[in-house]
Amino acid sequence: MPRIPPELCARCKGYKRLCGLPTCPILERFRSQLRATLKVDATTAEGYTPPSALVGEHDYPRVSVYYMLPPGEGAEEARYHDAPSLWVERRESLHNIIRLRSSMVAARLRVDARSPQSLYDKEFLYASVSVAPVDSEVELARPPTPRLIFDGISKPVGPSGPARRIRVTGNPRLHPRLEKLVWDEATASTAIVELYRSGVDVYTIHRALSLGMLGRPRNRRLVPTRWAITAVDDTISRWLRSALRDRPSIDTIEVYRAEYLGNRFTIILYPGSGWFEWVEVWHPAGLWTRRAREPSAWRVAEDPLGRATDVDGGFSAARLAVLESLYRRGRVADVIILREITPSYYAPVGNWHIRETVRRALAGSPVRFDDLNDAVGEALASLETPEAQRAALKASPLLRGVRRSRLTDYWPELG
Amino acid sequence: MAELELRFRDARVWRYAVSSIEKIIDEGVFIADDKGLRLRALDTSHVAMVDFNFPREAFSEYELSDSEVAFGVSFKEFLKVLRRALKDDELVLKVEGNNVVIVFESFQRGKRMFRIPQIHLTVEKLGEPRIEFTVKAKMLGTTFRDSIKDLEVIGETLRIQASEDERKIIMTSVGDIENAEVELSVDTQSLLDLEVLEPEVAASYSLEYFSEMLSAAQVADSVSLLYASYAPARVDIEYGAGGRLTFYVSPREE
Repeated sequence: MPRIPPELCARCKGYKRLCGLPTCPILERFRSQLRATLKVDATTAEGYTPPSALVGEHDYPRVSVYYMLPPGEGAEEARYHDAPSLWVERRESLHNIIRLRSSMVAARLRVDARSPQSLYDKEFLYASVSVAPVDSEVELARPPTPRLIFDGISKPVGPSGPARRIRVTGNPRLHPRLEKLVWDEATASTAIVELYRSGVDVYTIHRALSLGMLGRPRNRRLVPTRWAITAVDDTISRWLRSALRDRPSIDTIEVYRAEYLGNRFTIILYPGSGWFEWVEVWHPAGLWTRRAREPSAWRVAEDPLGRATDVDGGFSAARLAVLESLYRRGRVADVIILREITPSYYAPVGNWHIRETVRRALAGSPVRFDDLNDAVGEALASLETPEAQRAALKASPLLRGVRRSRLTDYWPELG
Repeated sequence: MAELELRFRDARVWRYAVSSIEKIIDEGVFIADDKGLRLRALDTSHVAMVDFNFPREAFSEYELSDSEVAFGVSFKEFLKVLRRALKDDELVLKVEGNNVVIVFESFQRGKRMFRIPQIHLTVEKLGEPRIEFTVKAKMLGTTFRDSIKDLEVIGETLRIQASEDERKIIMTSVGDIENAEVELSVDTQSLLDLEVLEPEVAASYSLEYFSEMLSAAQVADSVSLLYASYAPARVDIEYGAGGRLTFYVSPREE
């Protein structure tokens, strides 16, 4: 097998297929290693869906829809199987998260992504976006295969089998705004922003978009969950950016930190107009860098109009968390986010932990600095090894002290 | 009664010019007076500035109800309509109360009228930028376009070098391991004109901004590139009858 450079894997995280192989060898190995803890022999399962559902991307547009529930658990226990913000709050371990996910049975349906309407008479569709867990029964054509599905952006999916029948016995309860939008003409982006502003959590919006419940009726599609997550994060971010236009900048340099699941984040906010710099440093012997000797780093930069140098699901999730916090304050800022990934992050459980950890970091109080170079210096010094610092510096001109020049520097009267 | 009514012979010039402007700024205010129509705006990041200037003579009709008429547009909305400008269409632009009216006229397609709301903005008073450019290279619109397209295959940074003796400019873009180079000179006639006022002049810019000018350059007569070492670059996109769209881009310090 050709050797794939680890820097490429750190950038790709199994979903861009930068190595050119049809499936990611790292994810594949992972799937076979981690057997699901749940052994289900029966072909029927009963319980509450948390709710939890996923649309796969394999074979698009003939996609698989997974409807998940932990068999035999009560409503409150079931809810915890799909509860990213609670997991972060309780600092649930990676091991436990995989256990929670793998103890759900997933009933799989094959659907043509171009006709989401074919699901509109199915109760499970509404159960999947309910505000509370919904009692359901699934009947599978054969016992589920005990493997897990990982993709790095969505949460892992547990043992699954083809669905023969999905019966919803409880009553799905939708957020009133979502109930209205399912039958509305609004475009998907308008609907996403409306739901977000009405306080619907982003995870429910991810599922609603993914299951083809939003958008102009003629244009609706089932959207593979991984794509839907980034689409929702980006759409909300775009709206937050436009709502923040012409707001004043923050006036000091603030540094926030948080760590969870072997991922450390340092967020630096400093006076500016809305530039983002995302720098990711992967230590060797980690998930994507198993064979690497040196740390790998890479960056995404985005200008105040939201034009980024690259698409990255992790960056999208983090940027959303930062813009939310700035929106609450009614301030703009330039932002540097440094993410350090240690080998203890051994399984890709989704980008939710990035969104939630950055949210928590920003909820704390900042350390203030007078000089950006000092703030950056301290962020770099917090990296575990000098090699990691070198990798971060190599990836990001901004961290090296290269400042973006502005026309106003040349013609002060333009200011 | 319209407060302003302008007629322009080739509507596509507007289509392509506004399509470049829209990539740099979201909204802006046009000001018309007896000299002509202009718009000057900085992008949010303050890295680039747009300066649109069409003299009165560039229009076949030019009527104002007052000595100065200003109107604000969202470029996204404006462009949506201008995208419908086709070959042989004349453009009539009117300001009527709270609306901007855009009319396309041609023999074949008749008269098509669009109304978009004006947006009310405070006019940014931006002075005439003054800088001593030490290089001025003039080329055809297509030369500019092809050069930038070649360079954007490779990298994100555009480096421009010129030397007084050699009568040429070299533009390079550098990626992680690869690089591209375009050489233009008066001798090979790829440049229409070149002035270099210092022995060696070099500067770097974000290539992205140059890529966004390509649409505007598509229907231009000529393009002039002005710059100086460690200073902003100025790109004049020149249309017939003295119309000009100028972009200023601040340098990259690398």
